[in-house]
Amino acid sequence: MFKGNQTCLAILIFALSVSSVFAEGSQEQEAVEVEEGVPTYGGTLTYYERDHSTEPESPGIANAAYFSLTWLCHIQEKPVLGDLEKYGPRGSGETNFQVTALIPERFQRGHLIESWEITPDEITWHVRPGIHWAADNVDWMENRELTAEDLALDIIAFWKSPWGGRFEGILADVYATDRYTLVIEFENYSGQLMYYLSYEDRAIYSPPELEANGPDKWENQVGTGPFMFEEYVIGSHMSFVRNPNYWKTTTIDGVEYQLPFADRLVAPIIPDVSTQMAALRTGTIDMYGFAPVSTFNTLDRVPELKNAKYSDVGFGVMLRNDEPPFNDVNVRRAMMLGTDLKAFARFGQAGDLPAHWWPSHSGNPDVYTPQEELDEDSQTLYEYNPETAKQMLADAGYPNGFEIDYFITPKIPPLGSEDLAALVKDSWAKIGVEVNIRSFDSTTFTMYRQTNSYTDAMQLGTQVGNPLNVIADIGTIGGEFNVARYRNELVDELVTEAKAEMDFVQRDRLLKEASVHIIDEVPFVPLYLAPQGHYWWPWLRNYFGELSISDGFLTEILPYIWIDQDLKADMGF
Amino acid sequence: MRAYVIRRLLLVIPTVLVVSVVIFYLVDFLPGDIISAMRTADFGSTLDMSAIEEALGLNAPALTRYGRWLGVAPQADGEFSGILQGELGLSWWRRMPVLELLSTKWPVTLELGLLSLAISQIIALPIGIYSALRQDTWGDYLGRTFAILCISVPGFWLGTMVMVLPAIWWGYMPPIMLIPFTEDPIANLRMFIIPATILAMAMGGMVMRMTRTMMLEVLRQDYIRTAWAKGLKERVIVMRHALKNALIPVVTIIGIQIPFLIGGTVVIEQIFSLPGMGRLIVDAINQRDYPLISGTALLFTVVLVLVNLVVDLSYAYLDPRVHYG
Repeated sequence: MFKGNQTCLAILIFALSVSSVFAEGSQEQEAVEVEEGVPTYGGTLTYYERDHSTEPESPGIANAAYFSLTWLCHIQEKPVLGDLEKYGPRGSGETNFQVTALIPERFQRGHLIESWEITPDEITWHVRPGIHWAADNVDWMENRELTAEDLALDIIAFWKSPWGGRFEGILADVYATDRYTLVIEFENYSGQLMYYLSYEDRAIYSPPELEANGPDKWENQVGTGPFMFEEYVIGSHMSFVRNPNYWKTTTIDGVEYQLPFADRLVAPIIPDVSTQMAALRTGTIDMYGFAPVSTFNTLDRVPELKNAKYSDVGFGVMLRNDEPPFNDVNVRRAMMLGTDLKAFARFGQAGDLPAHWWPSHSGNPDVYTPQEELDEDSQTLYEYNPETAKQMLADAGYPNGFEIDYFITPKIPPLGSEDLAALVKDSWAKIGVEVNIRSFDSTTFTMYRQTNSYTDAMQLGTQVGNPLNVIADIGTIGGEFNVARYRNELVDELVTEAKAEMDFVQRDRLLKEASVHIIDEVPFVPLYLAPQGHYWWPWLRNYFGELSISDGFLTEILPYIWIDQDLKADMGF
Repeated sequence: MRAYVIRRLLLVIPTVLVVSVVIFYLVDFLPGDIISAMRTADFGSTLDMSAIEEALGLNAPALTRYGRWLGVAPQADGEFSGILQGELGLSWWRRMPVLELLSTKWPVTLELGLLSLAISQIIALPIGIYSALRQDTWGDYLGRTFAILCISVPGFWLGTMVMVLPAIWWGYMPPIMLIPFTEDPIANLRMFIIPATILAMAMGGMVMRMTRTMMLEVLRQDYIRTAWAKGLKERVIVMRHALKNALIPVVTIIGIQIPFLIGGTVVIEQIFSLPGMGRLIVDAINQRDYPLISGTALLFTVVLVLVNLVVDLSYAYLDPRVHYG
């Protein structure tokens, strides 16, 4: 009886799969050609991006964690953004802003600030006059003008909060010298400071009045942004309405338009990937940002959907450099030689993405050294050679291999972490290394990582956008993410010099040199670079697949998008 | 009966107390803490751990923290605010009173649970009774196969299929943004009916089989044979004489399944984007939000104790021989 039921189930699954293929095939014949038109105002833009899978936390600065910021960014703004109109696909096309955590200096543009100057002692910001807080949703504040003092107080509040440790030893003082001028004095200049204060995730600014009136409440959030808070249905969705007095405009075909175009913005919380895909296919959401690679096969079969693919996150194995067996650089090199990177690239559907992507990414050519330009020894690390790996292990005193613990958590990578670990186990078994997979929930995993109490190896993901952050955090002694406990005094010197360097060209040269040293010593075995994608319906106009013009959210691009309601109706939605 | 109910209700207090100790200390023993969770979330920051520990009261001994949670020890500000004062504390991540948070989530899970309970019984009882009355006919085979199917098809798989395939075939999916029942009952039901039906299937399958078995047993009793001999109609025999007696074990099964029903909501709420208690407690555990974990678990405990009480009391209704003195 039970076997019979299983057969029925198998037939049912087969039938459903066949039907779905035919259903997708029929959709292919209904592809709609889209033509550009005149921008129109109105409509509701509903979108999902990766950080909307969980509920937002408290929006208060003192408690705020990363997951609140993706929602707050609609309301509160940043001093600096990427210049979408000048350098993006709608402008010169020099960049499509497809690297997160970095806006190269040449593509930056003042947003809340008009301009800025950096000297070895201080940064001076010139706040843009005429920007007003939109405080219609609260009764404790007027829609007054944004001032330099507002920004100064916000920076100080963050600096003095438990999250402000990143400014220790860097910031000395922050103050306004007049209504529109802000001075940020340093103890020591750091190249990371402008990133942290002007366009990093947390670099959004709220008024000082908020601090006195309940910063932990979502309904109290006010800002200068294109949208104002409307409603948060806990755990379900958050919605925003158009700020009718928003200061920013955009010019399309010689005509100036006030932003944003959409009347309303809705961001549902969708924890399940299948549901996220279904929401896009049914038009419940207009845009699916940061879609994982596992969704590509399904979504690419809907020809009407537009998409842009990119890669800003990679996955690999951090080896513990301060304890045997991985304190021996030759053992680490042997591990990389014994790793079939092509097999991992297939696993991660990395396609033609380069095998060499860490610690700097080919999207940053000023810091990246292509594989063929690395020295010969480093180049060979990327070629799978288990026999040589075994010999190197034997030469290092491990003729029979060894046994290691391998720490993983289900969220890294987001889907298939156990499968990836199994592939590592299988791969390294061929060179005599027995891998004991130890799986933990993300918090326990982080505890092991932070307290340095893991053993041997960890499966980790790493963003590769901002080379200064990545190399400083991962490659230097005391670096926030130097989980490998990698120690190379030359790299430390180069990074310290790079942080203090105000000439961007010289800074990138130093980072490039540091990268090469790190690659050669293999603190981390980079397995594959993971593709991601944005998908959107063609009725969203004036969007060309840009990833982000700030640190890694779609948010700042959304005000530029207008909704072609007629096309949407014509397509049956 | 009244004395029994009062006694049982009074028993809730020590039960909840014991459970609260277990919950509180188990949570405390979990490896990793909120600071690790915060580091996971904000993967770039350098955190001032001691400031956060102090702000959250984590620097106090576990016994003091438990006393504060119960409301028998003063908080850091000298005030008493715990369970005894009708408060469950503040969610560490959301900075929102746990009670307020639960009051937004509980209705969702309650509606999902009640609806699935109702659907499971509406499906299961008629099929179970029919299968018993028409034993070893095609109708019985069909009913039994359906019951096995309900039990064996995993809810998470069915939920995913139901969410994905209609989206591909017909461009349809149930609403994913919560519409309160009081605002728009029809739209609300459109959101809940599918997940509730999926959740109801496993429970319904068990009840179907149990109802059939018990009905078969009761239908072979002498008093039923006497009823047939007296020429009573089938409907009267089944509804008035057989069903009530057959239902006692069925009610027990329903009572036992309520905790599984609550467990099942975790996955179903995830798939159907329902902002209920299931998702809340999973998030709370991942984030090590101790007040929220403790508050949610406490609420579940109280509900389960009350459900068991209702089940026990229903025996007296179903079987006049059962007395609670």
